[in-house]
Amino acid sequence: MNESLLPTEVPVVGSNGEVLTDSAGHPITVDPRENDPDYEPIPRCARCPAEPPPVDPGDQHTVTTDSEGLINEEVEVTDDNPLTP
Amino acid sequence: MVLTLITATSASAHYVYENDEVWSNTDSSKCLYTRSEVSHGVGGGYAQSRGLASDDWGVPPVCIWGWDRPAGNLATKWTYYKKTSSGWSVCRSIGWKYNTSKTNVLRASKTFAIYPPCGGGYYATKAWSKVYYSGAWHGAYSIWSGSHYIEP
Repeated sequence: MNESLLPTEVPVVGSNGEVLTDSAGHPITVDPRENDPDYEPIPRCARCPAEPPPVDPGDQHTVTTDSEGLINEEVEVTDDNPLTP
Repeated sequence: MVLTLITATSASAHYVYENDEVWSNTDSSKCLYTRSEVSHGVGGGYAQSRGLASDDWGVPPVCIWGWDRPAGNLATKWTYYKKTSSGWSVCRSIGWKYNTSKTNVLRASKTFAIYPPCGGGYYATKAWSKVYYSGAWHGAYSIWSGSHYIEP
């Protein structure tokens, strides 16, 4: 699969694999390349407090450390609706 | 790059993944890998992305060992595709997930318990990860897992 062959706007499919359409019958599309706003991990000024990283409601974050010292954070996600901004 | 299909005796043990380096600094002492995976899971399928600021299973140890990233300095996300008669379509998608504590591997995953979320057929995961270093985000190039058939 040559990923570059994927179109910019990609149709969204529903629970039965059907392409979702709007009220006019046109396919609903999303742009998977669209970037979410970047979180800024450093304070905006020297005296500003650092903002904690965003955590989505319902997500389960689990942190483990293995015998070799690798720290592994796993996020079991909840919201995966492609039409949710 | 690695493209792997592992097949075991159980229908729950199939998975396809690919990984690649998406960023390194000039002397390659620090780097970021993205791994993209689609799997049978427990029957309904499974999508996962990993951002690896370290060596880990499935990633060649060519860069560094355990580059600990503070909270909010490592992120990953994925889009889960379903193949239709007209090509690949988006089935599920998540936004950036950030590490909440010191971490060198960040995974974001979802297991679809019984039925695939958009019907039976071929699925694939497109994954991204990014790392914050020296005042900027790096990486964020997509990695395509390869496709995997999941029964209805």
